[in-house]
Amino acid sequence: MNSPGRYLVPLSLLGLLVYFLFKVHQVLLPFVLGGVLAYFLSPLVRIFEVRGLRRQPMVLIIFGALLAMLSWGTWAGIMVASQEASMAATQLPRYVQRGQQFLKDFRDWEEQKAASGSLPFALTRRLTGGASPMDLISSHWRTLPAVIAQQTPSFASHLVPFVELFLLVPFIAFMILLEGPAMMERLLGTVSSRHVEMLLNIIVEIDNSLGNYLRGVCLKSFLTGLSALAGYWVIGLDYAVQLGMLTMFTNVIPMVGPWIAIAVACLVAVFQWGTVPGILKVIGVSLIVRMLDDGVLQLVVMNSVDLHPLAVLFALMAGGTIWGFWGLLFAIPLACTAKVLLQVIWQWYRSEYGLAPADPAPEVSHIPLI
Amino acid sequence: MFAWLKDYFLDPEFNRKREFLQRVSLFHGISRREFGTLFQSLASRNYQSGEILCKEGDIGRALFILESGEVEVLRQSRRIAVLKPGDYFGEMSLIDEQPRTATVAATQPVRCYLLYKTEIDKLLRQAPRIGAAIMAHLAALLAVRLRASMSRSPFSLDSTDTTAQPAAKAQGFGVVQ
Repeated sequence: MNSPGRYLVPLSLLGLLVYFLFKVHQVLLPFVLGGVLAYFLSPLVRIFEVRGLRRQPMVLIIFGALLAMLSWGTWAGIMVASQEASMAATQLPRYVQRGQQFLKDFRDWEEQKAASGSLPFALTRRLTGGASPMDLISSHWRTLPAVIAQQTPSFASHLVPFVELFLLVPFIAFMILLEGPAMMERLLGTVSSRHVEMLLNIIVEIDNSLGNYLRGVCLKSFLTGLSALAGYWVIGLDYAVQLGMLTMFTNVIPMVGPWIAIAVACLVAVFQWGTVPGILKVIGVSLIVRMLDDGVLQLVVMNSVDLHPLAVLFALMAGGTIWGFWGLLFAIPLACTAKVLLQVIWQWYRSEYGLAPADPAPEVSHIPLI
Repeated sequence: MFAWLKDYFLDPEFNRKREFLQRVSLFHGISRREFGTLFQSLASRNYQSGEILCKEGDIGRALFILESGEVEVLRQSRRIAVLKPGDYFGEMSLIDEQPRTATVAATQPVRCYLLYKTEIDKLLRQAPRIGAAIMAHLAALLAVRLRASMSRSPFSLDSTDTTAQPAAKAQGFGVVQ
């Protein structure tokens, strides 16, 4: 085959593949999530594999153990939820009363300030056309039950894909894990022998970069969740364990995630104490946890992926714009992968066309061998 | 029952690979237990007869260990060596990513293990005993080549001197840098 044909055929096939993937991008999500789950579980399989144990039975055992843990977690969750629900049923009137009292106190305080001519409060009144902001909020909230009742059927229909994901993702991860190194060997077999080293280079570099990031994120989420749990427990907030776990899970979503947990913690404080100092305590603890997270732990993660903070910000914004929630979740791993791909292709291009400068010889290379 | 469990859980391929790699001089310093960790760093690939494994002048990034089949080493289209199972080549790419000094072509269907440079760096960090054993072997190989080269031409430090290679080969070392 002549030279243009040699490149034209694979490039056309690649173009077709990209077009096809673009057309079916909506069904790719379970495969991506399955791949991520398999990537998370592969170190577990490796622990047994390096000891000479067969891959297939080990994958079966790991999935069996995961299934057992999941079943136990679901059962325990249902038990806790039913206990919490019965407790909430007895506590609910008290919580509602506290919530109402808090809103009333806040409204009185705001009215008092507006009447005394305090500039920010007077300005707010002018913006709201003379009405109290709390009145506007509560009138909006009064329609909430009707909105919820209206939206419930469509919300339930939106849950169906999540149930599908819940079933599909572990199955796909299971299949990928079963394949393991055979998949890699098949991939290496598809490229020409001349490009094997380059492909291997790309795979190893991406694995290193993503491995560092995922390890960093897991450690960061765990430490953040633990510090939130300790903080909430010290100030005596109810559901400290659940809030700590919520902080841990939502921490995986960059930027937006941590604020979801803080909002829920503030809501718990409103219902538990119904006082401004109580909420301020929660906000104080949350801010300390955020400072620890953003100031120390986040830096460790960002150092591990070796991306400029502006590149991280750009990746997050671009990911959020294109794919919403999932885009935010996968923005940084995708940015890491893109960076590695660009680096490897650039290195290959430079070495292929002789553009790379030769490495300087070590300073002692002139000393004769003795 | 015990025999069935053993057959079901133990990987026979693992022992076969370990027995083969234990015979490769590059891995002589590695204990039996550590081979499992080493396997995780190796990729494998099959090549057809006539296929080029690496080309003279291309940047080398991986070491090749021949598991089965036979390859010929060509420099400027002249055959300088034939490698058989257990031989390895391209070891200098684990130290520096410089152009290959020879072309290696398969003369039979070949199966190879590939050890990539980043993997050896990872081994040096995460399993230093394995990484250090491999690097110590490479240092010994360099020393043998350099001494052999100097004994042929005492005023030259050219380590690409082909006359050094029979001496290195005699000690079970590779021939393509």
